[in-house]
Amino acid sequence: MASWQKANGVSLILALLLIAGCTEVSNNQNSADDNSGSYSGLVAIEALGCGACHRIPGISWPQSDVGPALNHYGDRGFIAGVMPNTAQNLAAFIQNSTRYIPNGAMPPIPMTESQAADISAYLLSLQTAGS
Amino acid sequence: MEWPAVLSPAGPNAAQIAQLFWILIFVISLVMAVVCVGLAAALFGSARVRAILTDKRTILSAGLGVPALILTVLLTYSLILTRNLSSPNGPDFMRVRVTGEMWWWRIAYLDNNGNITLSDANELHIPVGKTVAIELDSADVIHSFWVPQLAGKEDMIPGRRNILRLSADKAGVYAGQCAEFCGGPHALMGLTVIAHSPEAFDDWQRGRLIAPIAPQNELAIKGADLFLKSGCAACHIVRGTAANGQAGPDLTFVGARLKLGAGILPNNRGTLAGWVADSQAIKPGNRMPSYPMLLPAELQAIAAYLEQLR
Repeated sequence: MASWQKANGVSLILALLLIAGCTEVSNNQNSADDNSGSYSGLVAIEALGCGACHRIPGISWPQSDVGPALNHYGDRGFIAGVMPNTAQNLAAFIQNSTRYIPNGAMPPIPMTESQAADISAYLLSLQTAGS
Repeated sequence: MEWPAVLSPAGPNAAQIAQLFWILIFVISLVMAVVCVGLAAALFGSARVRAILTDKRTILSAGLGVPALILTVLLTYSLILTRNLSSPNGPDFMRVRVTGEMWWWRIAYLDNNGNITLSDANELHIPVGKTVAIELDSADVIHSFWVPQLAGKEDMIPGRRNILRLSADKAGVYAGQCAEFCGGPHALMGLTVIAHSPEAFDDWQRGRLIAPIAPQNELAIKGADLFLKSGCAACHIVRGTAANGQAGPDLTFVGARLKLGAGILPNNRGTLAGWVADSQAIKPGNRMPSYPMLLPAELQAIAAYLEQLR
């Protein structure tokens, strides 16, 4: 291989590495595209800043551990250990967790009913592959 | 976080810069196309075409004369444009001093004598259609003030005061960003500019000149107390209270801001709590320590207090 070909190959790899660093926010979640409710859930999560406390698949920044990480959230049995992990319960919980855990650290978050339903759908869609 | 929109100008200054950009792109594309055609002709053309291309006169005119002409025209155009951008085309409606800090923006609205009438942080309010003169200072290192929809970048240099004039054509929210690497969380040093209709701007200004009302509910009252006791007041001021710290952003109306952490997070009770508990996870290296020692109930109270500062 001629040296200029090698040089071309190296520059190509460098260019690809640069591109690899770029992410389109909010749609690198493999299960996010499966149903239409999940993507709007991710949009709502970003709009409300849930990432300020939780690590959430599909949210690349921030990465905070104030609250529990929410990967594979759909596999969980209970919401914060206090009630069954259903869409309806979860939508109610994220709007005002202090109703269920009075001494908890998560404040009531103002959001619309549809945002709550979308976020709930998104979180429940986060399941281990094959389950 | 949202990145500023770079090529959708919303004010006369930004519009001129966008126009310069598109003209340059057009000329560059044209030159590129001509060069490609010339290259193809040199590689695959007939002997006659090649003879023309290698002629001394062709090389002198197309290789030196034409580029010199194009570059001279473009340079003249951009120099005139730059001059127009920095020279006032009428009296300034208002003066504001924006000081770059690691890694946020201190904002002071000034009267005609340069005295501060109102202090704030991270959110700049302007009236639509009026020229605002912005004094750009720095408290530490070089920052750069950049709100691409309204104006070009201008550096904030320690020991020097640059003046940037801008105005907005229509009411709206315009994102800004520090555009000069200033250390650690530079990329998370955002700014929000809100352009109001002139009437709405007057209302906003009147509302800001009075201190916010004292907390009304039990949780927020407890939060106000904790805010002073937990050390927040050492760095933050909340006008009308004992909190009088100057090192960090003014929090008198923090609950009214659209964004938190210098233009980066949505602002609600949840993000306020997350920021107080662990701002270092959200904006690594920023000067506010995380407060993991707060009890959950204390965090709730402080977040409730901050949220109602509006």
